[in-house]
Amino acid sequence: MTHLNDEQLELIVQGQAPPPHVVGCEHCQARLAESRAVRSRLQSAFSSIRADAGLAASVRQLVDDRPARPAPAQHPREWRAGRRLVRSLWPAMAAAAVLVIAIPLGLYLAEPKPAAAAELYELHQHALSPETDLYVHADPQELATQLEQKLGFRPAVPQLGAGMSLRGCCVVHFRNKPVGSYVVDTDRGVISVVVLTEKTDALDLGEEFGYGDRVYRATSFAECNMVAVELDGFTYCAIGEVSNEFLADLLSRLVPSEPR
Amino acid sequence: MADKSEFETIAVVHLDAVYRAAVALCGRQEDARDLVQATYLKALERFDSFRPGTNCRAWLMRILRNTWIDEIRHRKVAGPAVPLAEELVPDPPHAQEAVWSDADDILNNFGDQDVIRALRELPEQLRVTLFLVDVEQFSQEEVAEITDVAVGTVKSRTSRARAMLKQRLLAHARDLGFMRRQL
Repeated sequence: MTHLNDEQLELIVQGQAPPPHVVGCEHCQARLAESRAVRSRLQSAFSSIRADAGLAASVRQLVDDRPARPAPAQHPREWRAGRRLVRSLWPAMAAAAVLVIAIPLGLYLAEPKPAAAAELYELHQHALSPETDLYVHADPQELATQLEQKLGFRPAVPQLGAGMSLRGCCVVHFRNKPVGSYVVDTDRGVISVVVLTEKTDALDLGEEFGYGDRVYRATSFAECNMVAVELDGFTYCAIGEVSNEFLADLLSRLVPSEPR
Repeated sequence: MADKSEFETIAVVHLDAVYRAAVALCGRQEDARDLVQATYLKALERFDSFRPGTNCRAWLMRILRNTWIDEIRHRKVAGPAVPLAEELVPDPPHAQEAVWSDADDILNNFGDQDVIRALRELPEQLRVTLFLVDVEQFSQEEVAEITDVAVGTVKSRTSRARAMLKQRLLAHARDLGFMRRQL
């Protein structure tokens, strides 16, 4: 008779009923008892760990110190007249808005999510993993050089500011081809900027929108937003748990890399 | 930003669980406290994206883990903040694969801090997985979502982590004289 494998053992430790074999097998019973004992001892070791009053107070202080949602700005008088008109037309506008939103939304939801977005999301998660080796250098041009050596072309570099810094870069695979990725630290989280040789049309990355003097495409996958722009024949896709505007703003500051 | 009292009710109530997880990841109390505060700060900033009715504790664990990974990366870039001797725990000698006949007795000889220290000696991915499965008792599906891996990976990591923890405890038990060394 076959003994429990590791996976079966884990399922039983986590509450699944054991198969009949276990009843008559001392070896499996002993392994099970041992795993349960380790689990139980781990639980009891952590049971006494609680946040003390000082930590609780400091977390509540963090919450209290955060500024509340800013109050809406006072609009000029002529705007207020316009708003009265809008209020009177509200029911008709609401009905029209429902139609305008519901029809494309229905079509959008009926379509399968583009695979490119899922793959780009995975690349971003890969960049966040501590196991991923990043090439780290304070000079963005050095990072571009590193990518050039791996990719055969020299990508643009994000011109940073507003508390953002380049954490590093790495080479990842998109559609089985090596592509470059910058990893940018911002005060809102980490953003990946993936450099692709495909055009944005080929990536099926959602609707176009204008930001500054460039046209972008935006989509999302899981909790991440993604915004892409074409520049000098390449596509730069920014990915992160931030708004599309924040991503577009980062991409709007892409500057051609200095030739070496 | 979301309503502060709502954040208190939904998220701050999980402070103990978040702190436990921070201790499992960092070990050092000061680091754990910093990690908890950084986690809640991020959670507060992103609270608009939290879907009411979903598991807030799991959502916080995911933020905590990502914040911790960011911290590790910063340390890699900036160099270790603590002496290497404190960070690097030598591997105990590989124990012969054997079933403990008196597992409960052996485990009860360890203090809580010994058990937590042994857990901390595991690689990060295994440590987080075992902590979330065993201590916080998340389902394997929830752990997969928190750690961004497939459910199958959670299963194999749990199994490997438990085996490795057992080996470490076994080695410590021998070192401390709780068990006779098996040759």
